[in-house]
Amino acid sequence: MKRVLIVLISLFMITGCGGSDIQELDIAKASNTIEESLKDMEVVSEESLKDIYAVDTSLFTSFVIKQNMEGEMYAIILTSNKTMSKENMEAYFNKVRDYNVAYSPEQVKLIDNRLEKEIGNYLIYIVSEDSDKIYQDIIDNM
Amino acid sequence: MKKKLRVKRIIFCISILLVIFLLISPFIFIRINLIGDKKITLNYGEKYSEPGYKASVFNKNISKDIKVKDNIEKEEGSYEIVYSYKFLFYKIKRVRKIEVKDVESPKIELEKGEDYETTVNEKFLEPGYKATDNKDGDLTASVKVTGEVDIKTLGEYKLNYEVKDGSGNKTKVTRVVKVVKKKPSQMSIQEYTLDGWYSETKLKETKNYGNEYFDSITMVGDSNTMNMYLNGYLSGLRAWAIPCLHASTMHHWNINLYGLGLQMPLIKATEKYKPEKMILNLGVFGTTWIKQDEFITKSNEIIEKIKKASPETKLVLISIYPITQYGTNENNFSQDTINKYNFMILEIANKHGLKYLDVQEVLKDSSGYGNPNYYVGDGFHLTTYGHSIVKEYIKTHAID
Repeated sequence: MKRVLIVLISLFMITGCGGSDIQELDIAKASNTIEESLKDMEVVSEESLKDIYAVDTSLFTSFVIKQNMEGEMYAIILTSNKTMSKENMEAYFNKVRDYNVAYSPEQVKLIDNRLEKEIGNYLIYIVSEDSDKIYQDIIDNM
Repeated sequence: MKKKLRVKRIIFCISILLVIFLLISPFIFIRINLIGDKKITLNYGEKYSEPGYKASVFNKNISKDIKVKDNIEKEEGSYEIVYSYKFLFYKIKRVRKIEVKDVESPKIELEKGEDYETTVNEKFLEPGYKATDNKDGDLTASVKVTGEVDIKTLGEYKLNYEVKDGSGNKTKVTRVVKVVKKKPSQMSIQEYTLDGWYSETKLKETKNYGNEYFDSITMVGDSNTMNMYLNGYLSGLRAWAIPCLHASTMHHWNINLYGLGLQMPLIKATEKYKPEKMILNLGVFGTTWIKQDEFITKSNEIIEKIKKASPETKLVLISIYPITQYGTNENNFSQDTINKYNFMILEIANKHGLKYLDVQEVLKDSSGYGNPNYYVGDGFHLTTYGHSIVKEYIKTHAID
């Protein structure tokens, strides 16, 4: 009995335990969480993404990309091709950046410092001065 | 006695189980959940971005008490991030594995782009390229170029540029080199010709359709068109002109309708009189008074307006007349610029499905400038002889 007890305790102490991996994200819920902080967000239409920013939205299983007049933005994307999707979003932000270089230089820093995270097959981008706090809110609400 | 011993044993067993439960309970009730993948591969040079974690005990959030320690370095290798929580003599921990690996292929940037045009029989010079890698830096010297360009033969040729980085990641890009004939805009004044370009747009030589045909055409233009009327080579009813008229001014200037003694904007006149055939001269002053982009835009716009004002009118664009070698100074005209604009006018005509009348070819001498025999002293106004040459050309290059 004593031996069993020692083995059990040692095993738990050596390996540790108590946890699982979270790979799923409720896009609508996360979107709502973000919009508690970022106000007056408007959807960037699929046509704009394709025609203006040359984003291949067929790579995305589902997604939401929004922005407001203050230059804040966020994107939550579920994709089965993370590499290509990331390249597309990189190009998207570069184009938004180029536009801002000409018209709102103060936004450029915000875009350069954007938050980029991956949760499983989800990509999350937040352009805001409070991006870290907003991301933490998403995690807390998961 | 036996029964008492049995009860004692049961109590002992329960106590043991309770102790075991108490000992292992921290591992059951303290939860550290990792957000995202347990194993993450980072590209060499890529910054790690923590996806996050959630920790709780009996549903109480203890995420802030989690200690996170990592040994991640820039170099390729396997690293760990340890998320731990201390409770009494327990240490509850979760580990995320991080693999730093060079998985990014080098990038090859082709100067002058993937599609490159060069002129037949001119020496082909490699336009240049640059290869860079996220780990190895500049790899330009390691690029292997394969493929050949036969500069003597018109056609498309492929040049392949390949490079491999130290981690074995490869990149291959291709440049398509088109060997094309020399564009008129690249030709010298002497060798300039529009032969072979948009042959369906350029009006071909026909039999002489005579004065009846010529008198059915309304000519719109600047002082040379006005002089054609004043010198008796064009009917007043068919002369719509004013000096210095060009692609931009013809949008808003009043032009003279000589035969009617009227002045009105071109579009209004077109809408009112709906000419059967119209030869439009976009004006030599357009080569100096406005920029090339504006000339193209305004030309396109005036054509659309004329089409809208009178859809049945057969519209023809005529080349800007050349100037003599001595006619360049006063107005800053340049024969080279006029040649470039005439090629543009041919392209504009082609774009709109119109015909182009290349009268400039018969007004020049072997030097590529206007033949002095056809011009008055200023070098850009035609003499009566010059007008007769133009009239003859129009009659022998009929619209249909």
